[in-house]
Amino acid sequence: MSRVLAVDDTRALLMLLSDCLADAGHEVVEATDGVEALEQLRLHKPDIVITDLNMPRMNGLDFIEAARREPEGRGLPMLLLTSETAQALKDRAKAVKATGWLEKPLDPARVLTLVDQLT
Amino acid sequence: MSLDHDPTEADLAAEGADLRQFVTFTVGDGLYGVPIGHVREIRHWTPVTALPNQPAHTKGVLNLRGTIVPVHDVRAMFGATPRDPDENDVIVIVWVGTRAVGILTDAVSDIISVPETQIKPVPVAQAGTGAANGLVTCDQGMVALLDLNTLFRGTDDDA
Amino acid sequence: MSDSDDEDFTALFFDEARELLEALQEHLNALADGDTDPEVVNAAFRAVHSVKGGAAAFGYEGLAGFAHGFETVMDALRNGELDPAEAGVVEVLQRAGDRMHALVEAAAAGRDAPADDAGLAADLAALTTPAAPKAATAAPSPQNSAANTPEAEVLCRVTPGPSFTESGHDMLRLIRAARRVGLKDVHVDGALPPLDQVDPTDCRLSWDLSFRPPGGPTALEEFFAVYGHTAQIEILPSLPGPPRADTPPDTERPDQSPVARETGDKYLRVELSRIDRLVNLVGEMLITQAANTAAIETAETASAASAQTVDVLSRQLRELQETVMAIRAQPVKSVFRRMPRLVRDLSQKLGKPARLELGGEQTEVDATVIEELAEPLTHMIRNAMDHGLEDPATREAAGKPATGEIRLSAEHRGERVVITVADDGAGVDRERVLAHAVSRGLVGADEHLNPEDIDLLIFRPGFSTSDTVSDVSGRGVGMDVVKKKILAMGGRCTFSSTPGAGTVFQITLPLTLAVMDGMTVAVDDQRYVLPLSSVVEALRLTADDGRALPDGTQVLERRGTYMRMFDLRGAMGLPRGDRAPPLAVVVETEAAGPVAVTVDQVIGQRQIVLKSLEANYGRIEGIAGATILGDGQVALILDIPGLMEAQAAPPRQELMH
Repeated sequence: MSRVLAVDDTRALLMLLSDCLADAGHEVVEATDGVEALEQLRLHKPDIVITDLNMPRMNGLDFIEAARREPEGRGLPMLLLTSETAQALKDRAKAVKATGWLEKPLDPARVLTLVDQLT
Repeated sequence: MSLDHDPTEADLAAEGADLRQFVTFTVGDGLYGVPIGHVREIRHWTPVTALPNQPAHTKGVLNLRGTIVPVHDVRAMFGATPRDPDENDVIVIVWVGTRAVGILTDAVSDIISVPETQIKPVPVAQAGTGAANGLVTCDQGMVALLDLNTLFRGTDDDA
Repeated sequence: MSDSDDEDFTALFFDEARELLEALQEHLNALADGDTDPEVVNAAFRAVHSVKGGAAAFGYEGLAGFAHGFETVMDALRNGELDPAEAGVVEVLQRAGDRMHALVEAAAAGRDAPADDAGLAADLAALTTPAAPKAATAAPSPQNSAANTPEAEVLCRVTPGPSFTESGHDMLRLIRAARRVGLKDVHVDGALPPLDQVDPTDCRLSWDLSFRPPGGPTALEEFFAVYGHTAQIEILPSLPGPPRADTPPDTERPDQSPVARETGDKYLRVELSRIDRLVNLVGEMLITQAANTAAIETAETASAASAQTVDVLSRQLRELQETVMAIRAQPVKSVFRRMPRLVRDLSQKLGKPARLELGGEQTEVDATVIEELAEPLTHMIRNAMDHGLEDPATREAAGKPATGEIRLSAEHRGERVVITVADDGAGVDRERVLAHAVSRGLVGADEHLNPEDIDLLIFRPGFSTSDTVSDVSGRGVGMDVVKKKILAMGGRCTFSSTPGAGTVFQITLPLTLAVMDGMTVAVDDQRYVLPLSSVVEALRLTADDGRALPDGTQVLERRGTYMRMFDLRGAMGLPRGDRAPPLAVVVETEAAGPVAVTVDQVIGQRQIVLKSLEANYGRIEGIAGATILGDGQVALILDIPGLMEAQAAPPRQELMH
């Protein structure tokens, strides 16, 4: 089982995500924006990160970019959770070295599959 | 001794087998039963805290791992004189709806399994009318099955 | 996940959506007022965006669809493509905000979305030029592959790109995971090390993976989707096309602002029950600590060092407890801010111009207190508008400004919070109140009441408020209900009225409903707790201290003033003692001033955790609750004013038969 850092500023969605992961036996660490997520990353050294895109203080892309500079974030699978699928976004996600993205609406089965696949 | 049964689960399981299980206990000369699923815990008597102007059948409240549970003396509820409990007495803590209520008893005697069909109705003139909702005969004699909802009708509903 | 969990999430979503939309309303109002701060637009955009995301996640497609169209407009505003100062723009946005509200409420109630009679969606779309994109309602449906035959052998060639590893991928993990989707065989171009010795960082190779996927090629597509942008994936024989790397046309742009500043403080939403568990736990720790302290004090072998660590631990626990309680604290603002609208509405309905002045909105109280406050406050404001303030003509005739004033304020006073609702109206019309009470049979026609007693009649159950039942406060809800509610929260309710000058209602409430400081006292072997906030001092009594008044009340003289004595033994129904109680604890009460509560023993001060008596038993007049002492015994927490009141009134028979 993995330690997953789940990041979303919408509390309801964060809980939905956390609970589906926790129900599957994963250990979940939560954060509600990029800044907090960076702290959690350093503190908990997760096996995988799932982060929302639009968030206050530091959005998901900037978080991933920053996290890649941290020792804990090097080579770490980090998925971007987003309802936006524009090519520009994908290019940007690729540029910041996001591992991949998860499309909203959130599909718990898909989340679990990806977590298993990438860790 | 602790019986950690979920009320609904135990009830369902017993119904499925057409057997119903009761915890029986003695109070004076009487033998009483409560559905096992309603029993939350059985513990020995410890001093309780009296409530101001409490009714004669109420002994007071005790601390059940952080929740405050009232203890009642069914003997007094059935019209007999209450007596001072000692550490040989047993409190059967039961669920009444969502409330936990303690029943002061002399001793817990057994757990009996009774086919649904062998539960006989209570004759109308039975003392403590409404308190029992069935009679069962077992090895030790006649057991009056307590109707917990009637016996411990809520006091807080009018608030 | 269980259904109830889903329901919880749904409820949480709606709560958040309402909050977001409330914030959106404020932002739009700011725009309407000409605020040009880009952060206002950003915040408004994010509110719409968040509701949209949630709505899509929870499957409220109508709401998500509308929000999408709205968001497109907000985005245009954000990019400067649309000018909020342009005529009609903000108005359409405000209407859109209202409609979002209606859609959220409809979705929350499980109703169909109300019809868009005003053609709002069209108006919204018209704001963005060129023609706004059609609102997308749901996520693109997954592609269905034509060759969806399971068990066919499929070969996939994976050629990792240069950023594959940096992006958090790992070939070894891929291969391990691929076994679950039917991986049969692996070939790598070039020298192939044994599978478990593959260097995961060296990926500049092509890997041929052959599968016999039990889920068919679709399962493979899905499996490889996440690698699509950092590796080249070729599914070779039977599967047409690349895995779903294509994108549906979309006008949305990613939010590229590096740091989107949030206005105001950040909040973390935590289920109250979790905090309650924490509070309970801290409470239990305090109890254990108290027992520990007692044990060390009595133990002869206890070293000074252990006594000191116990001291330190006590302080830390106290700090922990304060921190935990602070989590639950919220400013009263959240309930206060609903009131201006109420006053505006009532002002119109009643034809009484009125102004509401708020004070102390940042005063923090326990979250549970806040929730319970809304109803009594609403009623008190209604009452002030309906019965307190006069109509403008009367006011002017009395030399007052035509516009009435209501002041709603909160402040901390010791361990309690005091909430005041004051109006500058006519005050209580005592003649009318008395006549009314007589006509309702609440008092005898020949009874003589002093002015304060007459005022208090309005708290009596069955006292209807107005001559004619108005639809403002005459809803069958009297001030007695307000009082009952406040009492149930462990609070008090008082008021004073000055004819011609106005009425002041005051509610005092405990800051928290969970933990407080108490003074433990004993009568015989029964221990009781008095809330420390009300305790003034403890006195040693001598046999002839008490003086009996003609009505049997005992009074005590202290420093030249007299205070009432309260016989706790009698009030608790304990048997008469063989000696006069040697001690008294002076308790401050709002109605009767200081009262000397006679006891046998004062045991000490300690922090107590309030436990409910009502959960398993019922409410007892004059008992605020119960707590568990260090030895595990239950002690009752006394509400002296309540006890005095209960004694004055005939005892209530409300216990089980």
